[in-house]
Amino acid sequence: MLDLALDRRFKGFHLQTHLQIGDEIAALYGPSGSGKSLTLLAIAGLVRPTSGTIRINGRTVFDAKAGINLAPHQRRVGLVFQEYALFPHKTVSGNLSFGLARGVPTHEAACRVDEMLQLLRLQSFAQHYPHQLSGGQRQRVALGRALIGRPEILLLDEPFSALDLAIRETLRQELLQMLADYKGTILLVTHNLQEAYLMATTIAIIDGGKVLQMGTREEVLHQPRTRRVAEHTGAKNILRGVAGRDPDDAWDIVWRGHHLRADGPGPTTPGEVEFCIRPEDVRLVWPERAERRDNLLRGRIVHELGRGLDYLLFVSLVDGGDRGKYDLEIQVRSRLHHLMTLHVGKEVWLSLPPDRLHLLQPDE
Amino acid sequence: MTLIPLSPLLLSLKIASLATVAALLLGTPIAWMLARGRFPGRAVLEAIVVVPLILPPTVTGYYLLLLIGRRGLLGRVLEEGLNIGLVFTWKAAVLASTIAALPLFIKAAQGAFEGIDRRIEDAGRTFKPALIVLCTITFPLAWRGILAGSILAFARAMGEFGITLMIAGSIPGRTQTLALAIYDSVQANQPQEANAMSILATATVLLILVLVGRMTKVKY
Repeated sequence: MLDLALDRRFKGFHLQTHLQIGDEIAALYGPSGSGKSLTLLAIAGLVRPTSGTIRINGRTVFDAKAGINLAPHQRRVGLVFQEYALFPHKTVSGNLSFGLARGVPTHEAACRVDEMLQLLRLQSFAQHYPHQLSGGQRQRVALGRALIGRPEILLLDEPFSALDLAIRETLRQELLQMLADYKGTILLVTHNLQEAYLMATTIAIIDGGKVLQMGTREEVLHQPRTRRVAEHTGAKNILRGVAGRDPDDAWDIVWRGHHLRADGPGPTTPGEVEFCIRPEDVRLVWPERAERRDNLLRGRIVHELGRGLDYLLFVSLVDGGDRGKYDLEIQVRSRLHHLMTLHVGKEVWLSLPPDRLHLLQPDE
Repeated sequence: MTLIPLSPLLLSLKIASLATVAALLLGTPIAWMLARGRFPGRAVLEAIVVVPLILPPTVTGYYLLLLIGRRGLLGRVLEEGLNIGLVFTWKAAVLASTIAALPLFIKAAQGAFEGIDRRIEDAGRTFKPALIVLCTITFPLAWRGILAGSILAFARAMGEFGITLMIAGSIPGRTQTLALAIYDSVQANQPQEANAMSILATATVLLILVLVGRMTKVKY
């Protein structure tokens, strides 16, 4: 369990992070310069916050007011650095055994290094130096070095950014397998939303030194709290309309003269709102089934972008559309694109499912 | 065959060795502070460190003379308190060589410390106390730079002339190092002696450089 509230001012940057994480895999997701790596360094004790507290499993490792600031090696934190930061002058065994506390007797240390080598499937590389290893092997050594001391919390800083795109996918699954036996808290830092989603159960979105939203990966993806979160999670279609309550107690949004129903929660008071829908949530509807769909709109494809497996369609509304621009960005599978014989200039029926139409809170 | 006077060479080796050790002990912490420390006056310290490299050796020597001379700030304390006379002894020659060698050593060692990826040291600190990290991570990674600095320091100390002349003089058998002896033999019009000693000096330095080069082959 990790519980932190910290504050640190730098030149032109103010880090103000609050996090509560249980024994799970959580991801800290944000663009570069958002303060996510800095937060990890602060948890590990390598950067000292100006004020705040950091507790690991209820144990206070930092408390500015009480004057508590445990040294990094006393915090029982395992940190895997972005480029792994292996000791270049030590062998794989040497790197691993450095992760053990000083009190561990020699024979036990040797046993645990052997155990770890086995877990990492690096037995035959024990005497190799880091520069003789592949990227994936280095990552495993870094992970083993961080885990061998049995830390209460494991921090991973962009664990895949140093690797080729081609092997990332495999290594993500490999990492998840190796972490399956680890019982503590895992906090992963990444600027890749897909990676955050794939690895973590909880995602915290951080930008400008602040956590904008934290929740399950589904929540963060489909119920962004504010416009900024929606932008970070790729909601793309961030729209502006006037919201009111309809008789069924759902939201009724008037957008470009169309009435749209939204099922989710919304602002406390009706009025002008921002709302969003993800490009993959907009449905294309076959004309003969159009009558039976909610939030039905007619649009014209003004531009399209083939990306191999899918297409991005940029659609402008036939009624009330913004002339010269597009109103909605839609992601469809290439197969559907083919079946419906879509092309630029074609008119299509669209449906915005009410449970996917999400109202945003005003930015703080 | 005329006798090659060996004593200036031996004296030079002794003084240069001691000066190298002194530069190493004094320079390493300064180099580390310059590379890693964040403290007020860092830029000033960095500038002061290189001053002996730029000033004419006679000026550096003159300052030192003012400092350690009989009536100097430090000299008086040493003379009256501890009964140690420094000026015009071999100890003054060691001091002269140390001051001359220090900037070269510090610059080389500082570069070595700066060349270490900070995250490697940070990674170490998450496992072990800072002092252990310094001994088992930082120094092993910086030792080649430190050694290179020591060689430079030794070479500079072997060739020291100006500062030594100012504060230690050129007293045969006591403070007359090889460099000074060669100068004197040229002045005294004894080319054979000058030749012999010059060749000796060159050979000695070359031999040391080759040996050290062999010892510092990269293993990882």
